[in-house]
Amino acid sequence: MKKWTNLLALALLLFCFSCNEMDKYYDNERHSSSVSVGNAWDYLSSRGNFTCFLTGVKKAGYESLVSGTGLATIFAPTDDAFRKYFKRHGHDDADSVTLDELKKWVEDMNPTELKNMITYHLLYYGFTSGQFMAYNPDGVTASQDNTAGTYHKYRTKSRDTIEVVSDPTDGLQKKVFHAEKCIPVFTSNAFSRVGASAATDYQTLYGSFGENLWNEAASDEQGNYFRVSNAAVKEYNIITDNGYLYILDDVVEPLKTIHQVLKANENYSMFINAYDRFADFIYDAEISQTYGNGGRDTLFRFEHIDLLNIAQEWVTSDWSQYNMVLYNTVYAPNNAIMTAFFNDYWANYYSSLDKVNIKPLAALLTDQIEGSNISTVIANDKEQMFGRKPVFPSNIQHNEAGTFFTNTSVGWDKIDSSIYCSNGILYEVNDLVAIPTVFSYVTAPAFLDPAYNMFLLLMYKSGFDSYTSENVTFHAFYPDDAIISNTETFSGSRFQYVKNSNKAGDEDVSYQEGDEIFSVSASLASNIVRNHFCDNVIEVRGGDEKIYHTTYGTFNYLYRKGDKLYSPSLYNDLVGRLGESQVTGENDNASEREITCEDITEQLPAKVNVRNGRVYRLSGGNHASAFVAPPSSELYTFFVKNEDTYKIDKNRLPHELIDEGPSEATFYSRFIEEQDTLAVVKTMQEESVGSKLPRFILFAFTTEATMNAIMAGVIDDSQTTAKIAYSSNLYVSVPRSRLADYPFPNDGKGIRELQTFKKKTAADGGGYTSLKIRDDGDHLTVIDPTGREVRVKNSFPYIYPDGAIYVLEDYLDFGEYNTKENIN
Amino acid sequence: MKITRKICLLLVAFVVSQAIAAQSVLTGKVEDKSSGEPLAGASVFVQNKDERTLASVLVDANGEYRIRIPEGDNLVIKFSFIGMQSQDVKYTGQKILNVALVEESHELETVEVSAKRAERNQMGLTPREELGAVQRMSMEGLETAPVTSVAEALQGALSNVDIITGADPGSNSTIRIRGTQSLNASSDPLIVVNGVPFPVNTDDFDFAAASTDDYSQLLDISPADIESIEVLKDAQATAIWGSKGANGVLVINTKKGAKGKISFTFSTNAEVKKEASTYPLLNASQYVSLLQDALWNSINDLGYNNSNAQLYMDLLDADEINFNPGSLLFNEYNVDTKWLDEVSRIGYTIDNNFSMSGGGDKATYRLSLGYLNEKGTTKGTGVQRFSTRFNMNYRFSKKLQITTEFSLTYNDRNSNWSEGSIEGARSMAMKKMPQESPFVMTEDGSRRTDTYFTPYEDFQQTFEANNNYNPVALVNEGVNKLNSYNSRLSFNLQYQIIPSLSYFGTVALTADSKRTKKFLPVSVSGVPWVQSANAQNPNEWYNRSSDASNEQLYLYTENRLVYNQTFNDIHRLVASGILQIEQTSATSYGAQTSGNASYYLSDPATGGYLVGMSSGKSTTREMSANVSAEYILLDRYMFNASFRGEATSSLPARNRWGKFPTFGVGWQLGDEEFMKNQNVISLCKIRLSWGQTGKAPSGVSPYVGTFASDPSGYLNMPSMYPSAIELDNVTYEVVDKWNAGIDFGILNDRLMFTVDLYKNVTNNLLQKGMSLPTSTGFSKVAWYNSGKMTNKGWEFRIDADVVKTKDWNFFLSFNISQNDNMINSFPPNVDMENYTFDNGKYAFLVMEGNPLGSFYGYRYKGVYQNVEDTYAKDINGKTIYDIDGKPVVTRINTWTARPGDAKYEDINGDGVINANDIVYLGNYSPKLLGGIQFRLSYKTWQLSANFQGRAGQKVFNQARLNSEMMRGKTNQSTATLRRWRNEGDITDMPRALYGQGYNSLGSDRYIEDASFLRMKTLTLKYGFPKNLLKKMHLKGFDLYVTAYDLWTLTKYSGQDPEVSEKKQDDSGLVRLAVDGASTPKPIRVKFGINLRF
Repeated sequence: MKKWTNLLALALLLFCFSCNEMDKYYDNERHSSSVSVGNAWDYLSSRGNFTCFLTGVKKAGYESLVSGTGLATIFAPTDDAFRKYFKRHGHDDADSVTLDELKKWVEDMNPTELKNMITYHLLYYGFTSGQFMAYNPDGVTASQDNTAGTYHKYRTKSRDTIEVVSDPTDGLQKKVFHAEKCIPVFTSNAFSRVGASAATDYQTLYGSFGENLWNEAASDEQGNYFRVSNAAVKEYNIITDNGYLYILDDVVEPLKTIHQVLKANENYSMFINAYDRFADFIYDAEISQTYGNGGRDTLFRFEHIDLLNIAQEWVTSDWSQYNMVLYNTVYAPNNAIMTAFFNDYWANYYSSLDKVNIKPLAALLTDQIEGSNISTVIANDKEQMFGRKPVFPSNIQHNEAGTFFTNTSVGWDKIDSSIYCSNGILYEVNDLVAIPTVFSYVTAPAFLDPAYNMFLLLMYKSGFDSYTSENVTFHAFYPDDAIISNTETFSGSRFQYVKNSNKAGDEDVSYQEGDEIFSVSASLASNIVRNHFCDNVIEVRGGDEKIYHTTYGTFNYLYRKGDKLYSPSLYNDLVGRLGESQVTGENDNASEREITCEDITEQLPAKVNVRNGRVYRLSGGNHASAFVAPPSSELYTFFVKNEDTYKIDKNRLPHELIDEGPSEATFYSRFIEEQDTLAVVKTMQEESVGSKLPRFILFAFTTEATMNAIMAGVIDDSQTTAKIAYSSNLYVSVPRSRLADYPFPNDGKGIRELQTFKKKTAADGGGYTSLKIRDDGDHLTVIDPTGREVRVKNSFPYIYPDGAIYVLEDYLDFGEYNTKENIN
Repeated sequence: MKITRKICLLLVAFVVSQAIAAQSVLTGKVEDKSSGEPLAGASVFVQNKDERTLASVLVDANGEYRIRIPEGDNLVIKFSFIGMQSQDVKYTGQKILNVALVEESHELETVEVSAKRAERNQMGLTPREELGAVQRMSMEGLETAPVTSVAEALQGALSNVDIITGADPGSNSTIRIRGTQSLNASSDPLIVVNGVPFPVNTDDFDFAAASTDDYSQLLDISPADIESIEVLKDAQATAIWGSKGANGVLVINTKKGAKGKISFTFSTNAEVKKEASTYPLLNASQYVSLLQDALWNSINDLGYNNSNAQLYMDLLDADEINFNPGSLLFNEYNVDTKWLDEVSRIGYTIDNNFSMSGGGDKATYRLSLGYLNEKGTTKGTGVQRFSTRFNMNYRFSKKLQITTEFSLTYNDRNSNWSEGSIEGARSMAMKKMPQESPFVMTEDGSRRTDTYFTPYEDFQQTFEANNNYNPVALVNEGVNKLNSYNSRLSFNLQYQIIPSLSYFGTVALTADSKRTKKFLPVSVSGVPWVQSANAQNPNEWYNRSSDASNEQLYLYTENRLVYNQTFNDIHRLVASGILQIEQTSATSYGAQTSGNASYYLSDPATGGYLVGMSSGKSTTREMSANVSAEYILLDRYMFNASFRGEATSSLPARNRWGKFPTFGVGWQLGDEEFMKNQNVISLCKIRLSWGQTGKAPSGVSPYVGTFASDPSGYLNMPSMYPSAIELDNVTYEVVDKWNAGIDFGILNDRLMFTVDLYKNVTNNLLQKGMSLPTSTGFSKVAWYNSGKMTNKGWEFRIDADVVKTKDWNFFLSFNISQNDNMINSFPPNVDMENYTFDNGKYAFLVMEGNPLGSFYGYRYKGVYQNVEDTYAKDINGKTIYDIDGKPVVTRINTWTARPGDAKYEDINGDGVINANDIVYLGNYSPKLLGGIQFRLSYKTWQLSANFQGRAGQKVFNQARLNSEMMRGKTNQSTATLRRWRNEGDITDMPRALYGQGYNSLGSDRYIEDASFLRMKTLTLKYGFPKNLLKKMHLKGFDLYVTAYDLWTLTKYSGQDPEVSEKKQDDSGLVRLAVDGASTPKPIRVKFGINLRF
């Protein structure tokens, strides 16, 4: 029944609708004429001379693409091109064999190899020769500008199979996914727009394929001329139904990534093995879903952290950002060069190159990659990636190339040879193109000696460019890992290593507070590191050899007595809290806290020439903490903010302001404890920036001086208001007094005027009461408004993050402002 | 004289008294005259002069009877037997009366009976007396030219009845009698079946949106049951139907039982239909290439830094459209699926009808049974229908007769699942990308598994976002089941009060019940049960089911008095008074749930997540009174006047009564003495009429001002706010109708002409949903009277019995008509939909002085060939240069024209294509309508054909626009293969451009002339000759074959030039003929048998 009705309906259909108006409308022949030659497969088949290519396409499973499934640009090599190809690949008789034999060779090729080779001739999307000549991903209207044509790599259908790689981080076998590879299409624009020369550079890069390859005279009628990697185009811009077709005179050799090239060459094993220590296996859920049996297989992308992604075919796994193209440039040193460097620098400290810590290694490697166009390699920002231009040989000749780490210019004389890879250009060098400058400045010990690794990690966090300045002389004090890790923070926790799981051997420094582990922040790392680099030395004449170092931290200092070294907090702790006698080392406890420093500048390897100062190695007990600013610097401040009010923690004050003499006679009990000392804060807040009070100097009195002041009637001890009024005179504003450093006895360079936080009345001309301080060479003298001269007692002031305390041997007299109340 | 009279009286008195005394008894024998056999079971009646039966008896097995004669004068003894001619014998006191009955000719009787029935209309007028424009169509051909719906039967057969049936099973069909007469009130005609209007609640049933299926449901009268159809066109003719009939009336009369021997008919037919090939779609390779081409062009134009380009790049990189071996779904996305073939099949219909009829002198009856089984051409669709119809007429006497009629229809319909704006399986199948497989493929990609491949999201997005689903799964797994009952009962009483005055009473009851169950399994939609982790509710589309029911009860009563008297053979008066009352009440309920296990559990009480529920209840009432009178002088000069008062519950009390007068005059010119001398013109009748009719707004009490509650409340208290404005001034829109006609009969009516001229002016046009300033507190007013529109035209019809010999018969009928529509005035505050400059958009305008349905848009000029071509030219054709002396490139709105883009005529020469370049492009109203019917018979062979034609109308071929936009992801037609791709391509098809540019603006490129002439049906019938029938003991045996839409002459490039108008906006102001159809008319062939015995 059904058959019968079917037949009948069909017959009717034929009869009724054999040629109606609708069919006419959809008869494309009637309405249009196209410049297309039809689909590429049929066209190539009918032309002949493409037997090998078509055989390969069919065998690789891409027949339907070539015959019209989707938009494609096809580079079709002729059969003669295949003869050339086979000749290169060990078939010397390729020129003379029959076509059938040639075809058989194609069929007999390793299927994977064949597929990779054939698909390397099939491009995504449609490109006219006009587009190839001046392609600009920024759109049609932008194609006229001067960046048009710089883009010269295009996505092919060729993709390496999924590879199983062992991850050194966890020892697991991981499946690495490879993206599709790019093919370079070289136009003269691609070279000239970046300041390179097509004729010479192409020859340099592809010289192995013959001589005088670049021949613009061979351009087509429209003036199009380009080469597809190693092949020349015989016929341009043949329009097919679903894209464009170009006839090539040679088979394009599939390009390898820089990583693949280096891996394959034993001469570069040291370099690439060192490079691979930065490898990271990144799980990609989307790729696993699409290519890993619907997510049952876990697929990874193989990338290099902190370095150029020389193993990656594409910038990201997301081809939607097609305008970004990897143009990596690597200057690869061979094993001999690497060994020489190791012997010169690291041999004293490491047994082999494999053992060298990650950070020093990164410093070396990032100086062997191109950095001229990027501000930072790790940046994922699209704009920056887009800025990565290729570095052609003539760019190097014109000194337009520079290494990434220290931006050292790459000399052409160092280049031995060059290889164009799918994701960049690999230059083989006869010497390191650059030795990182950190190896020849006060930063060197950190990069040489693994003992300072923790400090180096902190340096990486805080940045260390400033210490490689030629213009500043540094004294650098290096704490080894023991000192740092033994350092107790204020809250009792310690710094420790944390393994960074991303890549082998990479670590981070952290500390624990409560149950939480914190990574050391950049600002904390910076506080710590700065305190160990001193950029100014203030020598003190006479007495003990006392040296003040101003550190790279502001208003922070190191004190040195002989080979003993103090940080302000250590000094406060030892001198302030325990008394000056303890500093001499007579107390047993003190010895544990002592820090000594040893000048190791001359002990570094011969190649290392510290050009901008001296370097010291620190050693000492557990209380090296003094050198390491606590995680939360607030804890050590003079003023403790408690909600809206400020208080002074008695425990933080120096011993001599609290404990010396009868307790009721100390400076603390007279001027701080009983009264609302913080009245001065009100005035201070007027100058505060944000919530931070202005930096101040407090002139405090010894107990004896305090008593003297009371005896002299400078203050009325019985009245708290009077004491409050008086004490404001003792706080000096550092910003208002325009001090760049706290006053230290130095070279007797005269007198400075200091302004206090005590406001004068308008009748007196306004402003603040003031003091003078005089540098007497080996000590300081304060001169009050009445002209009394009072000597500063201690050699070093007590320094806090927010101010400093100078202890005076006698009181100060401010005349009528002793008692006048503050105007606030 | 006087004496004889007295004697007679005395004699009668004597006889009567004697009869009383004698209780006279009559005996006798009844036999068949031809065979002499006794006729056992024959009836013997005693009737008085009114034919009222006083006594009756049956003849016994020996053919003998005995009957007691009651008292009375002028008694008649009636002998009757089914299949025999009745015999009346005057009773004159006989004691014995033997009769022999003669067999009767059934056919002759039928003609006689039907001729009687059609004689007078409801106003008591014969066709001869009628002054209105009426066209009658006898359905004698219907049995042999079978049609599934009434609309189909009428197509092309009636002049100026414009019927457009859609090709899609769910597409539009419209019937327009003399054009569109209202913007917002319904423009659809009234349908009256056996004197009872069909309950069409226009709110529930939109003719324009109804499918042919709905029509057949609406009119589930088997065409085999239809006896005749009349079309009433002008005010005069439709007077008694008032506002309901303002758009014209279709009067359908069904067959009734006829006196005579019991007769059976059996007809069966089988129809096979196959979808005609639609416009050719791209195959997988072509689709993928097109999409990539379109995306790539847009990306290159925009540049990567454009955020859209990034999105497009993501799309371009999608595995679905890339030849990407190794990707997970490579097998599923690299096949070539002909989606349309997957969802369609060869459909068939089997329709069986059986009827029996018969009756005697007292009662006649007709019973018909029908069973229809239809399988649609789209999988998953089909109808089963059982129908029965019974009518009986009983004549108590000459004065009183009663007719009852009952019909019951049961429908069981399966459709493809659908809801709201989610498109049907067919159009989905046409949009679906062809490289996707409907089923999951085996690992090696060689064949399909039986699991549907319905990813949650593919290249064409998700079900929720884009209504993207698997149409193959839908037709096979989706459920949409409608069960409906329709029963109708009517009771008619006819009483002749005096010979010139008759009373007619009608009570009719129609009950409708529908229940719909739907189920959308997840294998169709692919949605997850829980939409997202933080979703409060489960996904409302996951295993979605719905359950709905509708019930409607329609009550109609009519009381009618007709007076018909002739005075002195000169004056004649026909007058009537009619009172009609009707009430429609409806209730509905519906619920949607999700998460059901199967469609059997679609009732919300069984669980699942309740998505929505609704219910409704409504009642409308109408009442009308009609008086009319026609005075006829000398049987030649006719004057008619009628007046109708009408009230409806959809108008406010103040304006509820509408008053509509009509007047008409007629002259039977042919009956004048001077015309009787010639033999050529046998009929010549001139008619003139004027009348008013009105139209009320639709809906249930739409004038009532309503309040709504604000669910958020006000200051923690419940709150109400006025939501609709009270409309006390809404009233009828009134149509003034003029009609002038002439009927000609030549050569003894062998050639009939009818010409009509008419003009209908609609005043106080009802405007729906007019915008108000929001300062009133309302955004819209539901109805508003303003505006004027005119329809005028002419009709011409010719029927000719060209050849009429013993063996040969050739009948030809031809009609042609024209209707011109024009908007005369229009309220200035109408808020027409603003024109947005975008692809596929035409400017919606209703302009005074122009007809409805005008198209406004751009002029398409082909494709920009190269950069030079894109330079802007001024009016003089000179290139425009900018201040730097560089040529200015034409802009299309904001888009800079590039080679390959569509080129439009820059009317004002400013270098920019924008709304200022819009021009008038044409109109959808046909200039001419017409049809040809043709019947050729030789002996018992008959060949008949129906042609329909429309000329001069313009149609927006949206299907073509959508299928060659090359702008989105839907599959396109193969016309896109000639798209411009490179300089040098000569084509009018612009390049592909994904989501960008203006390559498909509303232009004359898609406005096509849809004139056509189509052979609607072609039937070949063979009836067995009489002598053969006799041997087979049959009365009739016909075989026939009909083919539909065999041949079409048109220049229209779409699938089908029959395109109906459609509302283009909410207000209903803009109606355009838009061909959005995705289905061509199926190719249908029907084979049938009619058997009578």
